[in-house]
Amino acid sequence: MAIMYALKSSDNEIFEVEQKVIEQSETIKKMIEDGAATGEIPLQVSSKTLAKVLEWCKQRQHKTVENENDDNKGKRKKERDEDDDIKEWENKFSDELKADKDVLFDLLLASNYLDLPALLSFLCQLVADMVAGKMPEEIRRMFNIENDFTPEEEKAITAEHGWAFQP
Amino acid sequence: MEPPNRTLKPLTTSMLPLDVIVDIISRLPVKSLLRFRCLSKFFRSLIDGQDFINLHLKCSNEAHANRSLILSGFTGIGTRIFSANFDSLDNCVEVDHPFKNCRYLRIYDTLVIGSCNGLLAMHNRMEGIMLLNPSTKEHKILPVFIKDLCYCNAYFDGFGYDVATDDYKLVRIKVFNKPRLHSEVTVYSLKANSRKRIGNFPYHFLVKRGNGAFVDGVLHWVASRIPESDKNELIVGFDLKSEEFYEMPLPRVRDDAMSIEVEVLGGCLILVCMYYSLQPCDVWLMKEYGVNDSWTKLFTFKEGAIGEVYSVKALAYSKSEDKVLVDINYGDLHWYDLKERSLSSSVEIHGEQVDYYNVDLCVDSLVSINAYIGGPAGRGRGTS
Repeated sequence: MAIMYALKSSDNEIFEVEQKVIEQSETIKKMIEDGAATGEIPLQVSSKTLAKVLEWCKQRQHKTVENENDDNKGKRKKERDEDDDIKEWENKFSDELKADKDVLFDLLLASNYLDLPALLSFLCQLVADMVAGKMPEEIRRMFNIENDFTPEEEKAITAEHGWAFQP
Repeated sequence: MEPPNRTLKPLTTSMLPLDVIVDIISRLPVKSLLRFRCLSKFFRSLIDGQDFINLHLKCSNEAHANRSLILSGFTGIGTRIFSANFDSLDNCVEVDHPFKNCRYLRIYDTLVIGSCNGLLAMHNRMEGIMLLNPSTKEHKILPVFIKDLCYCNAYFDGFGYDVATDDYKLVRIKVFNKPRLHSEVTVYSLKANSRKRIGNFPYHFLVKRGNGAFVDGVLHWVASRIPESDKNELIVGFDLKSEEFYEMPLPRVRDDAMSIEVEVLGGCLILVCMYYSLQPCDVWLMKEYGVNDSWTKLFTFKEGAIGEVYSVKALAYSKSEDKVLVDINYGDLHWYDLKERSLSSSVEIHGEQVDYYNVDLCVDSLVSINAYIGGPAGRGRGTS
């Protein structure tokens, strides 16, 4: 019987999760080890975001368990099929996040706060791929970055590497 | 971190912790980073900072990302340098450089000495040596190398980075036949922007030219202990930190090698042995640097796999590391499949078409040449 923990979101929703799934979060693992996690574990993460975090953790957990149970025979073919499955799952996960940048942003913060290196790395790569080809003006709009250069300063900085601004 | 207790607010980077911002942008290509310097003062100082430049380089190397092929082509009016994306083998564009319009005979082509941390050292017999970062297009001519090769009969260059002093160094070995056989070794330091003589080269080369292969802070050449020998006997390393030569034995290569060259593949030292016989080439890899027992044969071209082969240069592993991009006969690229042990047909590079005579691999980096000159006080990109 798996040990279950109750996670409480910032908007007071309770999520029942297996210990193995949630221990991927270094923050929660530490809370459990410190004995601070009796009863409900309160987290500064909204229920919508927490649901996404757990979706990721369960997928990862699933993958780890299957790999442990494999014997070598037929492993390569299975790994290949699995890789395809994971790719497909990740693509779907990415597409949902790309469509809703608020969720993506919240998930970035949550993965950082919960110390989930694999998810954080995945999300950082996703954002990097999203912004790589964009022009500064689009990035400023996307991330609400204030341009604190004077028009003259901006013109001068742009001119230093003018060719980089061509598509 | 700040608790994300907001609901649907607009996205503001002020809410993203600094290490997350750095994690995101350290994955970007150089071109994007040069654009994002003008987002705000915060982003400009972040991207221009030495710590970020080093981190970006480290991330690119670890992820086998942001790699370019540097292609040299001769077009009748000097050497043109092109850069193409390694992963897609496309987007081949010309890189402007100060030796571009030097109209000389072909023997005065501009040649790549080596590539290190995103910087290329290039040599032109008439114009001297220049350093070039093809990703940022920053370049600098090193005047101390102008008219440097008078009277010498053979010369050997090497370019690398010394971690201990955080400095880029150019090593040149010149060999003179008159009045008697002698040699001269000089080391140029970018930080000091000066060159010093450090003695002679206590070995002998079988060839007239050769660039040092840079691995682990050391430049390598193959050489012989006795003059006018027809057999390469050892690998000679030049440690950029101690500025001393030392010897490394060759692996057990066949006796009938026509030529042996040291090169770099994926950060490891490799040895390319060419033979007169039908089996044209062996490539050996030193898996663990400095461990002689770790030399293993990486691949051999099978008889008849390809026509006449007179030059082989292994450039880089594919992203999945199961193939190696190989330049055969100066400019003809093929994938060698390490599992199937087979050679692909010629690989085409999309973009501008020129006859290439040399191909090198270069990581795309923000490393600034001018930031190094004059030592740590001169750091920072200066212009803005």
